[in-house]
Amino acid sequence: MADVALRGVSKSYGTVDVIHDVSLDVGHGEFVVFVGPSGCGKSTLLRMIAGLEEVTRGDVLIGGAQVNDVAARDRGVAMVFQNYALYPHMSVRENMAFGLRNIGTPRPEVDQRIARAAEILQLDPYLDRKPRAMSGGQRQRVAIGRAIVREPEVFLFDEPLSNLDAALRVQMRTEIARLHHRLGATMIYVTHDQTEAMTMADRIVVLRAGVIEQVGAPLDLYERPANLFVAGFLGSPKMNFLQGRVTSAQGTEAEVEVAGGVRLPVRVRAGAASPGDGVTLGLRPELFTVAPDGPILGRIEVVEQLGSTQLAYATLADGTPAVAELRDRRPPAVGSEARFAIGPGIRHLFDAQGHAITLPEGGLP
Amino acid sequence: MTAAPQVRTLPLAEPRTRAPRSPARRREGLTAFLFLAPFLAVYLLFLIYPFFKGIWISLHDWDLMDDSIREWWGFLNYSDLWADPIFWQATRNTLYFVALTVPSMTVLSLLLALAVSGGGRVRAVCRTIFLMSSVFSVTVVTLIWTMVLSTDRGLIAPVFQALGFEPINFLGSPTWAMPSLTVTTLWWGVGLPMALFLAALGAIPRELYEAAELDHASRWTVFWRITLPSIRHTLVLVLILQIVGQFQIFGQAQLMTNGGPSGMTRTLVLYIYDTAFRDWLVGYAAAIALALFAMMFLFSMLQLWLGRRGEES
Repeated sequence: MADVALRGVSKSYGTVDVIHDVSLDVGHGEFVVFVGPSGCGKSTLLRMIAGLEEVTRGDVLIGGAQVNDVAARDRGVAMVFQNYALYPHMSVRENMAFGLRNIGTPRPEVDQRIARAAEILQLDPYLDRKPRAMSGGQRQRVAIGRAIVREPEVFLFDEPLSNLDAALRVQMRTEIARLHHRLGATMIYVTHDQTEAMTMADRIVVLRAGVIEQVGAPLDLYERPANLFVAGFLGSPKMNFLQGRVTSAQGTEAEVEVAGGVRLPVRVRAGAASPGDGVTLGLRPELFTVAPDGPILGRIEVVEQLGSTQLAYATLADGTPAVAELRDRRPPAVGSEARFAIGPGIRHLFDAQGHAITLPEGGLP
Repeated sequence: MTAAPQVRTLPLAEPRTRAPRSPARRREGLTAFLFLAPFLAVYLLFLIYPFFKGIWISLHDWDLMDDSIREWWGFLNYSDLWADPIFWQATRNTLYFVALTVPSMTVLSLLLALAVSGGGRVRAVCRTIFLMSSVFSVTVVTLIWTMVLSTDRGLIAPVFQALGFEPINFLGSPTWAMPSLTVTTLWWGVGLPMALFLAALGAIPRELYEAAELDHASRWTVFWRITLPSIRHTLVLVLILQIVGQFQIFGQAQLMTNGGPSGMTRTLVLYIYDTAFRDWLVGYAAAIALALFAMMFLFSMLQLWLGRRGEES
């Protein structure tokens, strides 16, 4: 096990900068998830840690040692690739043994490690199969097994579940989380799926366009997003954003007026808001409810039935799209006019630049 | 009264009757046939018909110029062939050429492909250069190499002289004539197999190499355990194409040595050509051609079988 640190890491391809001055510490045994939309640089960052991409500027440290110029093989990392990258003409056993044989591990130890990995991942019946005779989920388990047998300092996962179907993804998600608890190894996991990030991570790193937007525990990011991007990226369905204006501000007490003339008290950082400022109010769908006497008018576009709850997608009178989470077996009909109210709970306020100005303050550690 | 059972049992040997074909299916079949027709016409006219015509001719005394000479000889041409020392010499020469050329061409084209695959301008330029020699005609290639190998004005002779050796007359030497044809052929033909290998190498997922790098695989291990197994289909294809192609060596042997010295580079196709168009014994030439076909077929099948067997194991 080892910790991983990035110090002012940047990456450029020619004149195109894809990673900008990223600094991050990943502790011993921590499970950190890099999440962000396609092209945000999360995989590039992971590959730089693995040693598969060169670092343009800055330092990568593993176990406290700078490894910029250390070959990938000597960094003590194991990686699980998105498309598994299993050696197609080798059996499962050979796939797992390959790395150990290459470093001259004695045969009994190779067998012992494979047996242990196969037991953890329930691969025993498939050890003599070729990858092409296996399902996607089994192949992914082999890929993980290949990483486990090497007993690496750091596990790197590059979108390992994105080629699997939804049900299998959920199952593998729990298996990887369980594996992390069992091995206690440092794991860095890349995904574009915020649900994976929320459910698996000790800490989430949200990236956009090569820049870290926010780092924190899943619930921290969910409850205290540092900006509009993080607020909109994490959580399903997405947070509602209502345009508004500050009507009064006194110390940390402010009042905001949004569509429909609704005025809401919001606690903000002292001095962060002044009367007349244009702001964005962020509300999770569970705070946005349909109420017969609610002040905000809208039209129901779609209702999704999820069993215990329903999601009503609406367009408000000023054209803003919004989602309300309902607990009503008889939700409003599609196409009907409805009234919405804002319930009690965390109200997020963002200034004109999209930075959170709400208390308690979110933000970079 | 009981109704007679309406079940008709099919006798085992009766062929399964075809289900009545719907008009849509018939139309599809017709469309498919129309698309295939041009190819089938060419195939029948220029491959199947000449092949059987060749067999037919090989069973006759057949004069190219005189239509009146069409005497049925049965297998006489074949029994003559069996006893013909020149045929056996040509066969040995051809097999020797194939044995020299096919492995070296395959290895060389693979090495070149490995060297020039991947990004970068230098590699792209090299790829073009190596491919370029393939577009020359055999006349140009043999002319170039006849000059290169020439004892008095060649490219290699001065090297020998500088080292204090007597220059070798490559094309006139019984030992060196065939290897010289091989070198010429390698230079001329390496482009296509290299292109095939390049395509195959390009299709290997990059992640396999990255995984191997993380697995501490040496370059040698990567080549043997990742690259080579990944391109084995192309390897078999290249070997078969080379076997089929090199068995038919003709232009180089005719233009550079004309079968000499003392028949050491007389190959089967050259012998066929001389027999048919110099001696006008078309029936006998057809018999040699069929013997050559049998050899090529045998070796190609052997190669294919070995390739399959390797895959299964």
